[in-house]
Amino acid sequence: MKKALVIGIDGVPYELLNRLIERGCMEGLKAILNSGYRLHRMKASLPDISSVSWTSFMTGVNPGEHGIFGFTELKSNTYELSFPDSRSIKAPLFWQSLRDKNRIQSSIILNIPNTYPAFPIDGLIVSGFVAIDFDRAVYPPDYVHILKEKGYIIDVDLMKVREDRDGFYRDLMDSIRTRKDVSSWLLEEKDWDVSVVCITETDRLHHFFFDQKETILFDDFYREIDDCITCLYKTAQKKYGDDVLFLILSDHGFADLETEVNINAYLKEAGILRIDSTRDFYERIDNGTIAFAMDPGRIYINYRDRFPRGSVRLEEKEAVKKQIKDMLFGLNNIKGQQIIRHIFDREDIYRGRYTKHAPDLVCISNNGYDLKGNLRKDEIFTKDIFRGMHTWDNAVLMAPMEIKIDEGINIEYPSKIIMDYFS
Amino acid sequence: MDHYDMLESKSIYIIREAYYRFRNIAMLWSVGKDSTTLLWLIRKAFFGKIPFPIIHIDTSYKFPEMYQFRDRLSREWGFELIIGRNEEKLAEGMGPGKGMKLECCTELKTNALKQVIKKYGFKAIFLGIRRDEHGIRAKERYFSPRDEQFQWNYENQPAEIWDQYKSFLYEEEHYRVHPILHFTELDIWQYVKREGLPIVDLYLSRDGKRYRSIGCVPCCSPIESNAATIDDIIEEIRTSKQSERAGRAQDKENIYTMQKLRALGYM
Repeated sequence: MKKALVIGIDGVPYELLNRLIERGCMEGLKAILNSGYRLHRMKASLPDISSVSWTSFMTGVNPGEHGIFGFTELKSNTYELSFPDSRSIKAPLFWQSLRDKNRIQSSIILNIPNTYPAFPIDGLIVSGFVAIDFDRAVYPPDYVHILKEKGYIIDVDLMKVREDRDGFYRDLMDSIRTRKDVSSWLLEEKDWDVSVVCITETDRLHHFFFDQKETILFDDFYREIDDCITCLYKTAQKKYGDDVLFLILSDHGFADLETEVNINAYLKEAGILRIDSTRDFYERIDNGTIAFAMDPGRIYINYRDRFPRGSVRLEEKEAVKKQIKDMLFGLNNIKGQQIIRHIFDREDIYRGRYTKHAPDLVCISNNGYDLKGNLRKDEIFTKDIFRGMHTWDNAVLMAPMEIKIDEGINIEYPSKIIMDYFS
Repeated sequence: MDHYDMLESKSIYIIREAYYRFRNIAMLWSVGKDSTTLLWLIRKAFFGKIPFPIIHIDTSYKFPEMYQFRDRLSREWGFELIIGRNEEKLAEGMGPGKGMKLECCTELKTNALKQVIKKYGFKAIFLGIRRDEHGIRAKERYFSPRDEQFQWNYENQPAEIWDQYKSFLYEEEHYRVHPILHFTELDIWQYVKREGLPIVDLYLSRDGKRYRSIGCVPCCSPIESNAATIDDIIEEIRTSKQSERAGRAQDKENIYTMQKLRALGYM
């Protein structure tokens, strides 16, 4: 009987993983690699954000087909903010497809972002970020109690880092140990054909401590990650033998953060975004606005037939896009270096029936410049407590050497490996 | 009969029907405009004497005006008031300022209510929810079964046609009864005006701001409004394009989601 185990390491860049292995912090993973696996560089989704990227992994399709473009979204034909979740995913997930084709029976899916609220599955699912109510994050519900008793938590308290950095780091360490214990217990106790365990503590560490990636703080942390990966791998191997298809992947990379870049502040300064500050959130967008941004680098053109206070006519599309691109490429840091590296047209990066809900343009910045879409800040460059930012082109995939991996792959690719394996 | 008589008599029919079928019933009173309207309708249904207890879930974070209003009305209208507090969690310092925010609501509201239902063995609870409050509520029924986990299985609900309401209960289940489901926000205010109902004055504009819905202090924010009388509010709602919850930023779940996203630098 074929089995597949996938371990997700949220936000771990290709280069960092290689370096940590070289530094001797990941001896377990090194041994696994030496037994016949290879690391490949992989691209994240566009935008390079966890909910979008993991959904692309789960469905094997691009956002134009699965319908998730960010943690936030505007309701159709309005400026009303909404928060997409598992119910907003418009494409089947690979384990559902495999189950429907009778290739597999049951799955254990743990902690993948954007799987909240939990939904019916043959097996077990425990949702990941942004799960706000544990009771609705688990299916079947009998596991709510069991997991609570074992001390399982979905995420550490993210606000704590502002008050107590050391305490937050310790919480992350505790969280990864609990994740290892509970996940490996589940993998051992329950029968499964597909298991996905997502480790998200890595992303949390990187957001707040990436500037310390060359220090003992990272070494110690990644020894725990290595322990977790090794433990899960060995549990699967012990239970099902050597034939388990084993993959490790991250959903995006990370880079040091120099400054946050508030695109909307820049658009405001340039006069193409107008704000009515008596309203809330994106309702603040006022008449006369040509374009606005949502996290991280999603640009929406304020079309008349798309938004209530829209001002751009469809026939102006190309001219407006050119105007916005020129303007965004013209944004420099104080040293005169360009901030935005790529601007993609949605037609070039998305295919599928939900492309019409996509942002018109997606920006990717040079490392160090974290693009933000909030409407509250008037300064273009601001700094908060974040020390790392997501990157697009250096996620990582570990796959068995005997599987041929194409060049230039992205996060939609790994599920194809799994589908092929079971077919 | 005019529109408000019709709304009222439909509600009173449901209230009496539910009381007849369940007996061991209570009403959940948030002290807000909707459930105060429901309380008034219940009073009317039983000719001034409310024959079952009224539950107020006290998170300890409500506005002082709400506590005063609650105590005043329970004295004046003379009903039995059960105050539900999750004392254990309050003693542990649970509150919206700490940690997982949804946990606060779950512990101080949902679990406090669970404790009350268990302690008194209520088989049904009246709630003042309205169909136009939120998209998901469009699917609500007047009689809505909940399992022991408080889960609402909206894809498998008993049909409600020709005023026939299902009230069969499995062990561990209880019913939610929604007598004012068919009122809109505007209906509520028109009815409040017609009946001269008392309301918490947080709803009325002070210094250019008023609350369009009220709850716990840390999780409510006022909207910009000059509506200082009920008539002004009616006029405002009639012309407003904003949703009732827009003033409350978003509904509860969205606030938690937003807080979590902000903690990672989104939004």
